[in-house]
Formats: sequence, C-alpha cells, structure tokens
Amino acid sequence: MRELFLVMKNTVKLFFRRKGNIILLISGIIIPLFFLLFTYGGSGQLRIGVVNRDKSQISTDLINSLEKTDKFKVVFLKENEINDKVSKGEVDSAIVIPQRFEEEILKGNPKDVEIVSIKGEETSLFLKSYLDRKINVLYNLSKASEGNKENFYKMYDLYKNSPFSLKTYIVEDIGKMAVATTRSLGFFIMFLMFSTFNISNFILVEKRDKTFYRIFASPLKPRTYLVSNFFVNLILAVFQIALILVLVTFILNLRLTKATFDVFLILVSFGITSIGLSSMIVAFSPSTSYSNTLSTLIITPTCMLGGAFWPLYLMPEALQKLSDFIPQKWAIDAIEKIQMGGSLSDVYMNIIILLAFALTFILLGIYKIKTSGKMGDFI
Amino acid sequence: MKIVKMKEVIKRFGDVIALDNVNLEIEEGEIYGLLGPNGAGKTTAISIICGLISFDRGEVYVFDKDIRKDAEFIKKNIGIVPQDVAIYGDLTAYENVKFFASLYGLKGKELKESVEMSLEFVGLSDKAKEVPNKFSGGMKRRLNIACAIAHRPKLIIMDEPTVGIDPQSRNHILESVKKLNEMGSTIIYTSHYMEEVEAICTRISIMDHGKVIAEGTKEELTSMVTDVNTVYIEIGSIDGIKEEELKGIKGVKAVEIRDSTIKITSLKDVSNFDDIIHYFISKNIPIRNLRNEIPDLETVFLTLTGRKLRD
Ligand SMILES: Nc1ncnc2c1ncn2[C@@H]1O[C@H](COP(=O)(O)OP(=O)(O)OP(=O)(O)O)[C@@H](O)[C@H]1O
Ligand SMILES: [Mg+2]
Repeated sequence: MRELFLVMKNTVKLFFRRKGNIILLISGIIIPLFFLLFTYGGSGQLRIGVVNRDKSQISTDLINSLEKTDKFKVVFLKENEINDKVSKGEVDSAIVIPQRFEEEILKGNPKDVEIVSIKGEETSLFLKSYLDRKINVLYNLSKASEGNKENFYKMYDLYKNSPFSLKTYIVEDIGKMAVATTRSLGFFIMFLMFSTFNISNFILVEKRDKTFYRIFASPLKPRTYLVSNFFVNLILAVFQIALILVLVTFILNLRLTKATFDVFLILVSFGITSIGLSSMIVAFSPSTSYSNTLSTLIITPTCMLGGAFWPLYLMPEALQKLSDFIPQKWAIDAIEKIQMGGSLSDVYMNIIILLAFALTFILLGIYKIKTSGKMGDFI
Repeated sequence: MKIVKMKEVIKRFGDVIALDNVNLEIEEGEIYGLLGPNGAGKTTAISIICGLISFDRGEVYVFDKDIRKDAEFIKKNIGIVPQDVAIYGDLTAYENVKFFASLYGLKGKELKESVEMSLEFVGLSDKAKEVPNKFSGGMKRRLNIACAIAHRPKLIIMDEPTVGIDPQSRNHILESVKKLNEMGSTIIYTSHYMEEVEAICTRISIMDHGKVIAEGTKEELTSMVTDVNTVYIEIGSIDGIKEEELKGIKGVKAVEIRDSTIKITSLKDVSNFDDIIHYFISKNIPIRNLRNEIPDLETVFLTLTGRKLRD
C-alpha cells in the first residue's frame, strides 16, 4: 500500500515536471472549450420563426412558453417566408403548428409540430425535444381527462400554474447544452484518449530512460507499479472530465444538474475504456516510437469513425455499422441521449458496453505482459 | 557466507547464448571484478543476480538464498548502478535519490539523512536541488551511484560506472568504490578497462562470449599465462659479464644480452632476485636501470583468446 502510494506520487510529480504533459492537459480542455464558444456564440438565444395555423389557446400558450424561456426569441412569420428566412439565417429554426392542433390533442392523437432548420440536426433536435416534452404533457392531460374538454382545461390551468415548470427548466438547460456541447465533448474525448495514452506511455518512457531497470531491481512488485500507473491515469482523467464539465456549465451559464452528473459518469466510463486501450497499446509496443505511432494510428481514425468529430448519420451506412465496434460511439451516443433528456436508465447499456471494452483491453494487455516472460522482455 | 554463488548458469536470448555455463563465487568483503569485452555477458550475469531476468538452467544463490525463491529479500539488500544512467532527468538530484531509497523501505528522518549522505558521498550536495538534465556526464554517473547506495546495501553492483567520463570523475568514482568497500559493502565491479579492474579489484573473472575463461586474483591470473618472470637490467658496460655465470644462478632459464641491457628469464616460483643483484654487485658493475616485467590482464586476455580486450 505504501509502495503503491509512493510510486503514484512519483508518477504525478513526473507528470507535472514535464512541460509537454501540462500542455497536452491544458489544450485538451481549452481547445474543446474554444470550439464550444466558437460554435455556440455568446448570446445563446435561438431565433425561432413561428407559423401558427391553429390559433387556439393551447398553441398560443405553447408559443408563449417558448418566449418565456430566455433561450428563444420568437419571430412570427408568414407561411411563404419560412424557407427564405431560414436559409438566410434570419431565424435559426422555424416551427409550423398544424391546423386543428388543439382539437387533435383533445382527441388524444397529437399532431407533430413541423420544424424547419438548417443549423444542423442539433438545433432542431433541441427544439424538438423541448416541444415533444410539452406536447407529451398535453397528451397525458388529454388522456387523463378522457376527452372531456372541461376537465382538460381544468387540469391544463393547474399544470400551467404548478411548479412543474422546474422540470422544463432542466430540459431547457440540457437542450441548450446539446446544441453545442456534443461536438466539443467529442473533441475532448479525443484529447482524453491522447492524455490517457500519454500516461500509460510513461512505462515505456521509463524503459527508454532505464529508470525501469532500477525500479525493478528494487523490491517493488511489477504489479504495484502497473496498478499505480493505472490509478494515476484514472485520477487525472477524472480531474480533466470534472474540469471540462464545470467549465462548459460555467461558460454556457447553466446550472450543474443531474444531467451533468450523468454525462460525468459516461465520460468516466469512457475514460476507463481509454486507459484500458492505452495500457494495451503500451503492452504490445516494444518502444516509445512504436507506441506513439500505434496510438496515433488508432486514436484519430477511431474518433472519426466513432462520431467524435461529426454526427454519425453523415457517414456511409457501412461505416455507421462499423462504429458499433468503437467505444467512442457508445460514449457519444450516451451523451446525446442524456442531452435529449434521457436519464441513466436510458444509457446503462452504453456504460456496460464501455466497461466491457475496458475489461477486454486490460485483459489483452495483461495476457501480453504475462506471455512475454515476466517483465524480462521489458528490460 | 558466500555473497553470490552462480552454478552452471545458462541464459539464452533467442539464438544468442548470453551466459554459457557460468560459475561464480563471490565472498563477503570482496571487490570482485567482471572483466570482458562488449557482449561478454557481464550485464546479463548482473541482471540475473539482481533478480531482473530469469535464466534457463543452473542455480543462483545470493546471500545464501535462492534467487528464484527469495528475490524480495535479495533485492532489498542489493544496490545496483546500472550500465546506462538510470535517473529521472526532470526530478532534482535529491528527489531522485529519495524516491529510489524509499522503494527500499526507508522513510522519515532516516530517509532524509541517507539521501543527504549519499549525495555528500558522491560530491553532489551542492547540486541537490538541480535537475540532472542540466548535469554533465560525470555528474550524472555520480548521481547514478548515489541512487544505489542510500539504502546501505550489503552488495553493491556497479556495471561499467566509468564509461565515457573525464579522468577526474573516474578517479573520484574509483576512490568511492574503495571507500564503500571499506564501509562494509561487498562490490561487484564490471568493466572493460583492465587498468581499473587491476587497480581496485581483489578478485577478477574474465568473461568472453558468455563464458568465464579465467578467475582469480590478479597474480593468479597473470601466472596462468606465464610460469616465468622476466627482469631487464641496464648497465653501463657489459664487459666482464659471463652468460654462463648468470645462467648458473638458481632458477634462471635464459639470459639474453643486447647492447647494454640484459634480459634474464627465471622460473616464477623461484625467488632469485637477491642472487641476481648480488652477482652484479660482486662484480662491481653499477646497475643503471632495472625493470621487472609482469604480464598484465591485457596479456592474459590476449593469450587466452588471441584477441585484444578492446579494439
Ligand atoms: N534483452 C536482450 N535481448 C536479446 N539479446 C540480448 C539481450 N540482452 C543481452 N543480449 C545479448 O546477450 C549478449 C551478452 O550481452 P551483455 O549485455 O550481458 O554483455 P556485456 O558484457 O554487458 O556487454 P557490454 O560491455 O557491451 O555492456 C550479447 O550478445 C547481447 O547481444
Ligand atoms: Mg553490459
């Protein structure tokens, strides 16, 4: 135990003594944040063009509720202006509330609100998730009132004035994150992978610098050394993850919510997978130059395939299928689910898959070290 | 107690046979030299003694304990100075020694004192807070030694500690080897500089191609290659000297007179030095110069292998 702590302390010390490590750590935080600021902009208000074909109380309320959140600025449009305004970027998205919207809700089969957008899937997804939630509530109210108009409005008034709105707040916060954060967290994931590799690679650096020889001439057990490397790696990964989430929350002027914590858990699971992968790369590499090349060859392309840089649906179908075998995909998929308002129960499969990847990588690494004949191969 | 005992040890690296039936016995208190050219197997032998690599056949005991069973105890009592400088370039000299010493269980005040003593011992006290990245080669070598001695090991192994450094640092290191030995540590010292080994080692093994080709004290080794002793005597004039009379002295095998120098070869185990000197004095012939030729380890190696130790 004492030895484990000693070696961990030394590894942390070595980490912070080498400038390159600190630069990597900081750029892994800063670059995704810059990306976030760049794509998200400062104000953060989305201009929503609205065409209301229904003009009922419910549809008016719905539009008002959009306006009341300071996330949206509502611009009323004429039907024939939609495409023009959207394509010119005068509004970020436009929604069309269909005719007989209220009527259909009362009947229990709500119609979809049409969304027109060019800002990419994410803006509209956010808007859609917001509207879906609202409409879902209305639908539930309608079902509960069994088509009785009077009952429905009673309950509807109750709902409007209830502190229920807290819930929509959370949805809004998450949704707002979703607009800009998935991509920047995708970049972060890549940096996190390079960062965990960098620390696993300490083993090969020690081998190159011969301190490895001295360490194993001491009574220290090789296992203790490897475990300490793993723990230091984990601690630094958790630190980076926590830091970027806090900064993202701060920059977007959001509050830390349960969703933030869920994303944290997902990223930590991915961090463990990444450490497993790094350890495996190191176990299979005879030298630092080999491991450096191997890690670059693995990390960058898998980040592309796994959807860390762009949405998966932009890729050919065959490649999309391939992404099932890439851990990054499961992490990003889980983050998206949370940002669309999902909870841990929606992403536990993703987390299990990530941890299964981690276990596989670690076992392969251990197998390689064991079969290469003690640590002898390492000296 | 035998500090190290290797019995018929064989170690292969793939097709290369790095140790070929090696036998070694090292007594407590020795400065034991392992002399051999590049690739002789010195580092391999040392790595096995330290429990760093496994071996294919044979037995290895250190401090009378089996290396395959008691590696932890053995490692705890060995200090190794690796052939390649093995220190952290980004940690200060003090932090380097402290970390490695702490791996041997030293802590608290004892740790602090040992670290300071070790740095003092290698003459790096004033550089304690500087990082080795800025050190000269000689200073790094000295720190490499400091890292091996802080835990006061019973056995200190130095693998070519003087490679590529200036003569002053080299002398410092050779002196410190002797001092460490006087302070109670047994030393294994490898080198391919025979002058160093001759100067400090009490016993020596000569290795080549994975084999120990000769073993013993320096005198034992040199007498292996020659059973004669050669004296060169330079005099003013050779008038009045009779070859027959010189040959008549006990032990003398051959006499060769060239110009003013007489080369007298005697059997090694007969001590006839006095008689030879006396011969010249009795004839009233002043001796200008006298040189006793002892074969060095280089000659020993040359004789045994037909090659020079270093090219
Ligand atoms: N890890 C290894 N893998 C393969 N071959 C090795 C390994 N270590 C040593 N050898 C080989 O074993 C032989 C003995 O090497 P060793 O390092 O013990 O020699 P040495 O006497 O220390 O030489 P030097 O004076 O150059 O340090 C050499 O032929 C070397 O190439
Ligand atoms: Mg060597």
